[in-house]
Amino acid sequence: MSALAEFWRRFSLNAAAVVGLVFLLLIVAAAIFGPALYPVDPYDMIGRPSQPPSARFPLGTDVSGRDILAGLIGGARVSLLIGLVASLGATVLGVAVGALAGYRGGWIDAVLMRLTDFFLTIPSFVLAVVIIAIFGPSIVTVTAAIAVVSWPPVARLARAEFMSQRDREYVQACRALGMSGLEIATRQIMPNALPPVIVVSSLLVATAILTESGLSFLGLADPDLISWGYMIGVGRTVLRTAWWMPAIPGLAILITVLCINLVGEGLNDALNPRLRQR
Amino acid sequence: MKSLLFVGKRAAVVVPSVLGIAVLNFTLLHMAPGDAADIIAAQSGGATTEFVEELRRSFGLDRPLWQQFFIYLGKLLTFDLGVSHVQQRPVLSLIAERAPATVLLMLTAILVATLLGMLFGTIAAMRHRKWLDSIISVLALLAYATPQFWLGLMLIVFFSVTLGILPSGGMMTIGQDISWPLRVLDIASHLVLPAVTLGLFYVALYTRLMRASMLEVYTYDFVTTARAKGVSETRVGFVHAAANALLPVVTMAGVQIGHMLGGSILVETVFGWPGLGRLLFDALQQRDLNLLLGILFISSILVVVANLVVDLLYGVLDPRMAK
Amino acid sequence: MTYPAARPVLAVEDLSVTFPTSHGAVKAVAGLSFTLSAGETLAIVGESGCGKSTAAMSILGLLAMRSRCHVSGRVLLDGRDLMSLSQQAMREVRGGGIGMIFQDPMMALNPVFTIGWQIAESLRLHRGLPAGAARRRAIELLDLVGIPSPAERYDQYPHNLSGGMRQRVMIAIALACEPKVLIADEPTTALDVTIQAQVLGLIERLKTELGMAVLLITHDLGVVWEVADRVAVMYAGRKVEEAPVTDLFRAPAHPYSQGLLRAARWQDDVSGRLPEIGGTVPSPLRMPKGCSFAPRCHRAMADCTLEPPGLTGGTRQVACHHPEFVAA
Repeated sequence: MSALAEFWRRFSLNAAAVVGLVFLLLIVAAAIFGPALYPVDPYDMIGRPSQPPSARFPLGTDVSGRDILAGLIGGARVSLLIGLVASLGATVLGVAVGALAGYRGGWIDAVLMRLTDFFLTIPSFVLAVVIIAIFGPSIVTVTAAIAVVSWPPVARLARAEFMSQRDREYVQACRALGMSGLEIATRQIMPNALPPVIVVSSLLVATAILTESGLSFLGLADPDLISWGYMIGVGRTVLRTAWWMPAIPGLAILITVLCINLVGEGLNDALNPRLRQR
Repeated sequence: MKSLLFVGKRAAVVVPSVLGIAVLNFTLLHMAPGDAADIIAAQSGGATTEFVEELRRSFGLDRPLWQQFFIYLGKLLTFDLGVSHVQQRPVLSLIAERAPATVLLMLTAILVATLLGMLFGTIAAMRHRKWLDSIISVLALLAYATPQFWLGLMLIVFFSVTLGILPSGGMMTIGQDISWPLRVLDIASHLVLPAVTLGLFYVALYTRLMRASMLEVYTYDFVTTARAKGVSETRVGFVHAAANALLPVVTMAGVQIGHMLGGSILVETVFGWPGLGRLLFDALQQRDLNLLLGILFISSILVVVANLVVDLLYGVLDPRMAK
Repeated sequence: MTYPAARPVLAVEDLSVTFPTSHGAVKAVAGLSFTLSAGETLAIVGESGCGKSTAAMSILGLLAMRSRCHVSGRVLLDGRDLMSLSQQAMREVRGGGIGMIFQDPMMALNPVFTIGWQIAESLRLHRGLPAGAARRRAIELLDLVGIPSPAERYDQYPHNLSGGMRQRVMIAIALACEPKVLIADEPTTALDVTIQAQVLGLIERLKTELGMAVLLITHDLGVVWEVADRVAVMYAGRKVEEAPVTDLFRAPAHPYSQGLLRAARWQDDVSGRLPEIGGTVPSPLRMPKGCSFAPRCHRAMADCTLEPPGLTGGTRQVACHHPEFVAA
């Protein structure tokens, strides 16, 4: 409990991070409870198209007469879900590769790091586009494609952490006790290696949301779901006459990503006090 | 001679990357539902099974996978990227047509972003915890969170639609026969908005990097040495500290080239810039798999080469590396 | 050893440095005064953390640039108070009137510029020399500090040089504009023993040739004995004793000086056990009300804990309620 209190004390020293956290919680709440509080179907064409904001449609309607506020709330669910799951997947994949490379070393390390560097080199967005083009756009392929192109930085970080822990006394003690490599890596080293990884993967959520919005903008989104990037793509067609239409979902992305970045910096302060930025 | 060896060593690193890209492309190609024969058959409209089999044999698609891979690799090494079945043209010539526009856009964006980022980061660090630092840091944080393609749209609304001072799309004014200095100006004016859109994120990134790097360098003893010999604070910051602080930023700029290419696709789509990104978008719309994979291959090669250039540049910037 | 009766080149009067911390103000230097004449070497000795380097940095006004602090007192260079100078005028003093060299010559040289450039920069800034003349003069300076084939060395980077060579380059930078005072902050600590003697010899030679005053900051009494004319001992931010080197080594008056000397001599005397000074330096946040050395002092009496001792005057200064001029 005191560890948690200490964590919160350090985190709350960063005022911007606390503000970011508050807004992020509001956005998450809107995604979860929004549809109940504002029960308008975002897929339903309920009014004249391209209306500016009004009392009936607080943020106006899109080119097909769909309610933009309802779309924003529905889009929050999709964007946040894809962002979270994709970065979770990238973290699991990255930690697995990095832990194996860092703990085992030798040729396994050499091969895995070559692979990681290779994935760092190829243009990740282009690769994501090709993957989705081949397997067809759906929420699963989009999430998987983002995860597949996001894991390398996590792997490098996890490898560095595992390498620095691998020869510590406590690990040697575990080996002497006859623990298996898998057990040592997952039970003993993992908790020590995880804090910096958590910071990086929290920032991955922001990147994943930006990537998802870009993919949707190109039309590589699940055709059955509304997302913020898709809304910008739709609004783009009436950019000259109704600029607010693409502006609104874009702002939603900007604010969400900003909040996640702020929270990520706060996490960094709280989890890696030695690495604190001056 | 020594430096030639250095260049050679660095260049040799490219080989496994190219092999890797080939493997990746080949894997993706074979994971795609339907092969080239199916696509051609579908386009010719209701071909017989015999015809499809015949096509398959002629493409070598009936051979064992490993043989197919070496055939594919052989083709890639001779830059034979196949034919776009939609546009009925070799993929390589399609890409060659579009690559210069992308290179122009990316070079402009990365040069401007690196210079501005270093400048702002240096200033922010020199004014550490003063109001100028705060303003730069907040703006960088905002720009860092802005979706590029959306920024492009908003810039079009402001500069093209509202103010009407910059073109909203394309690379040059079509249908004008003008002398080359005017043509350069014309292209430059078309380049402003896309380059700003693509570059702003990186300005923010390099500003943050440069600032952190400068603050680190400011704690080093040689900064005190410079001050102790009477160097002004401005000169300490811009010359003594910055020359050391920019090294990690240059490294990062190299790493970011692949990322920037992804941004370039979106920005080109927004501004109708006739580059690789635009080509990729069209290939997507037309389900032109050969062209998609060709773009992935060539853009990966571009990134590998760009990384090599940055590597060599690093050797010039850091005397400790030039051994 | 005689002491020039001339007016001192450098006079530090009542110098105090205070750092604000979250636990309260910390006084790193308290009321430090000393003078330095041309051709003379004054050594300031003390343990790390006693405030000697802080004092040296604050003479050139370099401290406030690195950290938040409050500096008070007067620093007179040729009778001119440096504390009241503008930034511009102060920059002319740095490297012009006073040169400074540091402990670690690897860290103190900029790794991305050639050593020649770093020397020439001083000449261009202070003397306004054009590039060609600055280069020629820099090569002369490299020769002066004993670097072989100076013209070729000019275009080399710090990483191409050995530690001793780098410190010579630092000296060349500090002396480029022939300053009246050289502040050397632990100039030999990071060097091998054989190189130490060479660098000290070089400083000594240049002092005589250029008629400089040298302020030597060190923790090494061996170095003090080699090169210093006078020595000031600092403890917990205060000067506790100042004397001509021979006097201090023959008969230290302050119990702390006695302890330092005993500890230093033990190194020559392998048989004995380490005569270390009992106890530890008091925390700067909880300085004793009286003499700051009292808690560790075997001579301490009741009056020592009541008020801090003042310095006696003259060439033999000591801050102790019960000084004892004994042979240590």
